[in-house]
Amino acid sequence: MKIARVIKNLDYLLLGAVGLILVMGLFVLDSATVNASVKYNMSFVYRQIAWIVVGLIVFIVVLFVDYSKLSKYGVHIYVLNLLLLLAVLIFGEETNGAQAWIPIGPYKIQPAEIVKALLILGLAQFLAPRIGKLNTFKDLIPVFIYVGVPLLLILKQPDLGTGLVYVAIMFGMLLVAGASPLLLFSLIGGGIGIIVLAIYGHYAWDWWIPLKDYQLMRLVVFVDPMIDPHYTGWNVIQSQIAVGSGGLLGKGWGMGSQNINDFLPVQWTDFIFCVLAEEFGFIGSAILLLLFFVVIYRGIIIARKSKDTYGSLIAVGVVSMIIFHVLQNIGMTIGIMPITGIPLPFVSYGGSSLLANMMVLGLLMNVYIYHDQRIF
Amino acid sequence: MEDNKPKIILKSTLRIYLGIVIAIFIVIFLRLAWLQLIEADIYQTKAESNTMRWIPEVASRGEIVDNKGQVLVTNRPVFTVSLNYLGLKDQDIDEVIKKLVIILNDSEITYNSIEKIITAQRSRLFEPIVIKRDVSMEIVTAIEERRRVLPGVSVDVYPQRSYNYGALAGHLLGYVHSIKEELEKPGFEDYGMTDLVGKTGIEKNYEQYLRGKNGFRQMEVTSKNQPVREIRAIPSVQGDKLVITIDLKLQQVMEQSFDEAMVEVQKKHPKAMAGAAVLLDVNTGKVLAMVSRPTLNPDDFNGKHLTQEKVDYYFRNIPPALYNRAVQGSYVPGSIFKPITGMAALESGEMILEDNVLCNGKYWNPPYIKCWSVHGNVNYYSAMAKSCNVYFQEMARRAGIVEIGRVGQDFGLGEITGIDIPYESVGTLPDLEWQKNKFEDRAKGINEKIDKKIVALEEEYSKKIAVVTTDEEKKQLELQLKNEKKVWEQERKNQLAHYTTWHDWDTYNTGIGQGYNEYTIIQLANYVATLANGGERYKPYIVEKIIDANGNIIEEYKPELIKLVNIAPENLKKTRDAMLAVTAPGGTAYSIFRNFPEKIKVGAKTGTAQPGRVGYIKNKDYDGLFIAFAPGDDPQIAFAGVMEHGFSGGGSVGRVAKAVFEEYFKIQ
Repeated sequence: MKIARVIKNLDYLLLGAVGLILVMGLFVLDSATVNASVKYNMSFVYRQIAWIVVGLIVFIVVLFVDYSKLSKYGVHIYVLNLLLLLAVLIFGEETNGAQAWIPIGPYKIQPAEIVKALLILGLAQFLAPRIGKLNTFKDLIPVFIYVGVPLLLILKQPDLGTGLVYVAIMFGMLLVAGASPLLLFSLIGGGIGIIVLAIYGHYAWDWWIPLKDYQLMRLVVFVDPMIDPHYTGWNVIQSQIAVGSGGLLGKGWGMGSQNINDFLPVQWTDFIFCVLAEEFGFIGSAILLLLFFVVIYRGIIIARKSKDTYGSLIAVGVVSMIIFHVLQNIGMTIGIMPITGIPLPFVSYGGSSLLANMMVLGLLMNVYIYHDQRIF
Repeated sequence: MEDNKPKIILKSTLRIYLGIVIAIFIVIFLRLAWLQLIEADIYQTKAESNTMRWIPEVASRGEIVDNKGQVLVTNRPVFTVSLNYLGLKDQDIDEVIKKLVIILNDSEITYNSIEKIITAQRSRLFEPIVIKRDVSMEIVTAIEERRRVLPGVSVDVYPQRSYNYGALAGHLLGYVHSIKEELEKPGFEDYGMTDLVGKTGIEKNYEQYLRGKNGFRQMEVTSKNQPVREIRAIPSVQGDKLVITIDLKLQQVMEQSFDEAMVEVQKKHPKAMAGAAVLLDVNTGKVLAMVSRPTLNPDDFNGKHLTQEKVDYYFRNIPPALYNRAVQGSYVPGSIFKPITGMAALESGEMILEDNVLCNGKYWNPPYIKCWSVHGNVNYYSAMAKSCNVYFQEMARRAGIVEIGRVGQDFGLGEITGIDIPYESVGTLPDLEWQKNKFEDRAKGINEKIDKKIVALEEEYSKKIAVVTTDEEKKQLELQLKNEKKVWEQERKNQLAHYTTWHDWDTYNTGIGQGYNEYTIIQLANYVATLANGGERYKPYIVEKIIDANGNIIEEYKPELIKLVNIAPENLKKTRDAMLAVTAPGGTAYSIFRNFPEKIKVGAKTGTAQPGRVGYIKNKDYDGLFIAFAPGDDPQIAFAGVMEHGFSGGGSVGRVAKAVFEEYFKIQ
């Protein structure tokens, strides 16, 4: 009985949009890995399909657990979150200067993706009773502390990308929970201001800043990639060339010279959007953008329709997470965001990311399915 | 429901939230539209230049083979390191150059030397800047491993000249080197900065044939510059093959014997370090062998950076090795000119063969030029055999300078032979025309000098006259000026009489190959060849065939008769006989060809010249010259050679003539 109702109450528009994004993603991934699949001797597409199947299972499992029952376990979720992050710091394997991976048997998982979902659940439970009571900076301090502890652990890895996702989720949920938009924007603006000042101070007066050289350079080349066109500026320049050269219609599937000649860095994960933009042009990018908008828009509708504030906040958390990923990932390839490696949801290759996204999609759907209390 | 208030809050905050989301999407959308719709052209060009490379394929130069087809000069592929300045544009160029210097590990290549190369190429920085050619595989590997830190550095394979016999015939073949001033000249429009071009020898003269046609490949490459696929290719075409008249074996013998002769002469005359020799086929004008010393090894150039030592050796030292002394050097011939004097006397009818001339050690006409010995009564044959100066001064007097000039002209002396290698010298035949020009020049010089003196005098006196007061003093000074002017006018007369007139002694000096005479070795060899073949003067040449890359003969050079000398055949015969007497018992070259069989008689003439050049001490330092032809009854080959500071002709280059004649006639 329950299955029938669940099926009946699914948001098919949302599902359809995600499905199309997944299919588009597979086509792009196939093209993006022409060289990598030879180099690593494996099919990224088949693996990704396998992950999608696993993700669907996770999605379905999540559907059948009424989210509202999770509200009691807010503290447990929070503690689990911290434990996972600590585990990364202790057992994590270092790749590219960050301890982001935990080896489990022959597989490696990236807890950073899962902890995003945990944060959303925990923070929704933490914020629900505070709705309408977040008017002053003082009111926000507990929230900052709540998010700050896991955030510090993430930055310790260091994983700036996930850290920023945390911050984005927090601000998104705070906004919806009724914190003053002006206050929030001042905080964001102030934060950016401090970063700019700190970097300026670093160069002008040799200030110490808590950034590694490569992170600092990413911010510098965001302003002018020609400062270092062959190293840190390379990604900025080459990804824009890929996107721009796609033109209206694109160069055709598998025909992107920037892609197949390896001018793009890791084009099957962080820079996969460049491949799409280069090979499918403005039409392709606009369609993907539209599909993401549908997902986001439906997410906001779900937040509105939720039977309780807890559900609304979960939905907003999920939406904030996705929109930040989209903004950051696409933004860095078109020069409106600095380079920070986070995947494009449902498109970038990678099991952890896909699982996490399917999980939060499950949460979102869950909120939708149970929004009408009369059903059950 | 008390829960209603938060829900109302959420409804309004979600509206703000949606607004922000829409704003974010609009920003992304607009930025995408800007990049992909408005600036698409710019980025498409950038993407294309990212991946398209025009890779020139430098054509191999044509081979050079000897008259039997043995390959003297060919090509081999070498790795060349160059800088692509455009690739370096945004880089720390200094850093890249410093790293490259360390990797190349060549004492000649420093930061400064590379900067110099870049500066030299300032106007054409879009072309690759060649830093070093022919680098080892280890260095190529080292550069490839450091690709990332060496942006703009590229390693390409170019064909480079390869000389199968090292320095053999180096002057004649010539060398190739980086193009420079040629770029400004017509005919070099399609050359690039990195091209090598023939600078001397036949490499220069036949540049248009040897060069070939460069091809190119348009390649799509990856970010690491690895080629992905070829878009299109126009293959290069190797330059034409030159078949030259040089005989490898004869050339080797000539070079080796020249070096041995120098070593021998140096024992007594250490300044003997330079010289030249030529062997001609008398019936065609083909150059069978040609040597110049000091040696030039074309591989020392070949697009490489010359060390200071090499620069000194080729350009600065005395004698500099660069010049092909066989065609670029003019030498006072000394006694090897005597056959010309003899023929002039015969032609003028003033010599009667049986007539004896008495040599008592010096000529009886002023300035009484000495003979090197006392020969007693000599006739044409014995005088030639013994190289008597008195006899040939007398013959010169009898023939007169006009006739000597005519004969010399007929034999091509003092005239470009037209041989197909560059920078040929003219030499000096002091005939009437030359005298006229020379004396006019001298007269001009003398007149200018004396005119200046007179003007100065007049100025001096006009100043003096201006300050004196009385008329008497003035008159006195005017008189003085007049007298002084007279003195200068007399001086003018004297100088003109002395320096702008042909004196009898000039004719005597000319007759024995001294005085104003100066000829190139190729002219001398050709004069001997002309004498030997009965009076047909051919243009000497080196390249006989040009064969293109498909094996088609595109040029074939035939013997070219320049002049049939206007000299009675019997006079030529008498003169040849006189030269045969030189190698007969009692002749100055007897000992050299003693071992030659009866049927291969050699006609020869030794020469010892006082060049009067810098570095020669009068009556102590002499150039040794030697001419010869053989066989006496049907001459095939002619030789001429010089060894600077060789002291005597027979003792120096005579040995070279002997060695090449032995090789040619297979005499043990």
